[in-house]
Amino acid sequence: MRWRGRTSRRDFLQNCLTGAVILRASSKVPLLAAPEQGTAAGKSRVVIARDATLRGIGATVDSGRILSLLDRCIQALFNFDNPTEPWKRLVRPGNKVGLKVNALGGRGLSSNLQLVEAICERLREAGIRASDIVIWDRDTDELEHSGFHVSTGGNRVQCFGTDRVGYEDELVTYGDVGSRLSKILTERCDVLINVPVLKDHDGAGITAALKNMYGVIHNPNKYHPNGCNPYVADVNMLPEIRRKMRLTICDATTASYEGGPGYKPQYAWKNNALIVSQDPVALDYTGWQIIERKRAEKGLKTLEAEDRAPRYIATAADAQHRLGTNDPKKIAVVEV
Amino acid sequence: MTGVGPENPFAAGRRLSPCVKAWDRSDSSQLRSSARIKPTAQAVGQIGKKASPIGAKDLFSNATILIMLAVTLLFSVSCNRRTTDTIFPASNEVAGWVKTGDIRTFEATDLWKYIDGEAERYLKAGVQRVFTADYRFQNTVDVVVDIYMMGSAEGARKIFDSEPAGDAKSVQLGDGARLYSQSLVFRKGLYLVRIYQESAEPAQGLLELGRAVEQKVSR
Repeated sequence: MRWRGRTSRRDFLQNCLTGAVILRASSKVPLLAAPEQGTAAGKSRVVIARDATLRGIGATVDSGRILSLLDRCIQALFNFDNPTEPWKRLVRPGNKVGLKVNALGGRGLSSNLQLVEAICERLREAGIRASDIVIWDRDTDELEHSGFHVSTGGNRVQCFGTDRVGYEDELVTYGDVGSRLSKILTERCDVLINVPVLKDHDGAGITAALKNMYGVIHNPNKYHPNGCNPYVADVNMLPEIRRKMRLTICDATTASYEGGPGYKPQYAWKNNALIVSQDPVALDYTGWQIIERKRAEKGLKTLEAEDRAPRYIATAADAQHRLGTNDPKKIAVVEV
Repeated sequence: MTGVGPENPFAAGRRLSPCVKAWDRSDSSQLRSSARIKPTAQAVGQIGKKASPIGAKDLFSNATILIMLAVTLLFSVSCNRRTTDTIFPASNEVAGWVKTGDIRTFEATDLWKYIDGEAERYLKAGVQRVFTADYRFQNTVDVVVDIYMMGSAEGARKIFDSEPAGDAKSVQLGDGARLYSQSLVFRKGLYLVRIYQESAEPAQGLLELGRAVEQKVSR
């Protein structure tokens, strides 16, 4: 695939077309499936990697540095000492892998192009065909506006919105949610990698891993009352989402502490970090704390004081949902 | 909330929230495939009974209604086009600024498609619609201009006042304005305007573009 507005560092499109290096993973290697939520004896691991020089001398994230940052995260998360092996354990050749990005914030606050490119590169090295990777969100125009180049055919990484293929006819339900799922999720993905952006959210408090799944359903507008609680947790319980979700790579290179989820430069900051976990609840809890720290630094009230603490995080961790843990004692935050 | 397992999402006696009732009502018709709806014989019979020969009077009446509808529609489209065309500065109307895309309009009911969950607070403040267009300054800096048309000046003030000023510079523009390093927010009458840069290059000319928009919405 090509990336609008820049020349790819290694001519990513060329790599996708030629299938440069495909390392076949052994089918006997066990997959790193999402943990059995709520039953694991160990702590949920959340890795935060920062690079103060991520942007070099310019404003744009450097492709080489973000790849290196991603590698540090993934290696630390899975305790591997080389960057490719964990990806071989996450996916298998022949898998169709969806990267659910967040393109709502335009070029200023959407999933970073260079990050998505880096993920694709590692997936390719793990043996995933370019055409089996789809970068997606709800709307193709939004993806384009965020700088992604739409691609719907050929032997390339695919990139388009649900508006191109539609939603399933059947309603799926859990708890207080009843929705139709994107056909990209149901028909084009065996494995889902969540690539949200760390943002303040006017209604929900914050948005990161769990809330990004609102972009998978046809009626997210119905689920914003009551701080999106319990709806965010319920959406993530929909079997197709829960079963396919493998990993969250949260883009916190630019994040927002106020005025979200839309992009308002005055409330965004260059955080130059990635947050990675297989536990979306632990990741969201950690992201919330990062936003609170920034709000305090800026002299703003806590989200709790503004009556918009992200209560859906606790709901996602409760006995009915067990999507992960929000107990700080059970979260191991690893900074690398 | 009372939780239930995925195998039994709507257990008997479960109280649904008003929100769920909303989707239940509004979306059920969308989910119903037209292929699944087969009129019963009774229904077909009723349709047949209701049918009657159409007289010249009825034809005239129907034609009149259709013409009125068409005129109303054309007038509405024309007004909307006039509004959007006149509240955004044309390319190079402000030195260095070129409009790079079409103007998009989102009605209040569709605002969530543009700004997701943030739509709620605009709806509470009485937003009518938002117009948005992209501009480029001297072929280097891309900005977005969002013009929220509220139901009243009070609505625009409510949104403006709810946002922390942070490190804004106070500038004389409209009924209140804040200038940041990469954005400009101001209100004028019914309108709340946001002009913001999407890239991180140093901002230039935001205030000049803002002044041009302010003049447009003041007319």
